[in-house]
Amino acid sequence: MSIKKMVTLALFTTIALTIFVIESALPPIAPIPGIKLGLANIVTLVVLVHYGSKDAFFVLMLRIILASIFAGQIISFAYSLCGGCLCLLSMCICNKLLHNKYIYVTSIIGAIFHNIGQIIIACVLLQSLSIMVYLPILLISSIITGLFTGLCSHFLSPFFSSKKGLL
Amino acid sequence: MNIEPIKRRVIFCIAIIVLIFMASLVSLIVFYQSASPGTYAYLYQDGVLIETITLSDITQNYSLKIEGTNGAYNTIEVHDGEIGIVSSSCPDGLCMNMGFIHDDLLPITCLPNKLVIKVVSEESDTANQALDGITY
Repeated sequence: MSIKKMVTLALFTTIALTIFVIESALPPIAPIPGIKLGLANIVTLVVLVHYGSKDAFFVLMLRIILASIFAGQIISFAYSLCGGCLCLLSMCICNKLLHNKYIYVTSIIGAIFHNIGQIIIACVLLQSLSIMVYLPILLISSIITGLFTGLCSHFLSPFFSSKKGLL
Repeated sequence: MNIEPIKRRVIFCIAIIVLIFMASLVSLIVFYQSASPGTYAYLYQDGVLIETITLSDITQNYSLKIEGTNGAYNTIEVHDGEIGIVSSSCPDGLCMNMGFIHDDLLPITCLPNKLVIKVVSEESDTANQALDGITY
């Protein structure tokens, strides 16, 4: 990995971490655990589209570890980890299918699987399946927020292509 | 066909997303219609049933405090026909925002303190109670 790429990925990790910390300080929109804007996915998606899945995995892991140290209890590490890994896996598959285009579709699918992953880990940690009742509401909200973050990534992504020379 | 393969995949993905959206909406509406007012409230801490409260014959509002590990607590208030969390040691406070529930539509959960409050409409004899007998 070249120095330039390492620094760029570190910058992306910092941006994702900052977005995540600021977003977790916002008041909750609805009294249902798990509904959030998920703006840090914008960075993950841009890194995935421009650098590939391995680098996106590094950025995601670093961001989750650092975020759970800086701005949360240690339990949020498990939630973010499960949701984030499932999200990245689904976005990699979808990205491969769509050849790095139509980013908002990838983002919606990533958001859906992120929330599914968080519900699964909540069911495991609370050892009761009654949490599954929240799934329809979470799916609807994740589709809406996934579309929003997908559009943000879509408009942000051309700035990072190698033609523009920003990176 | 005239549609290129990538556009076909995009339409397929969007169709799946719309399907999930519609299924969630329909299941929400079905849940809302079939939400029956509850008579019993089950309190689960770490997946273990710790309290059963009868909501139908409450003559006086009372509150009880559920303690967890490391000083975690949730103060639950029981009114006639409804139950809710009024104060909690959890950092996000979502459980307090959920308010009072009186039917079995949605449970109240405090994820950091691992507390789940479920309202059921009649005594359910599924996994909550021990086996009555075994046949061979």
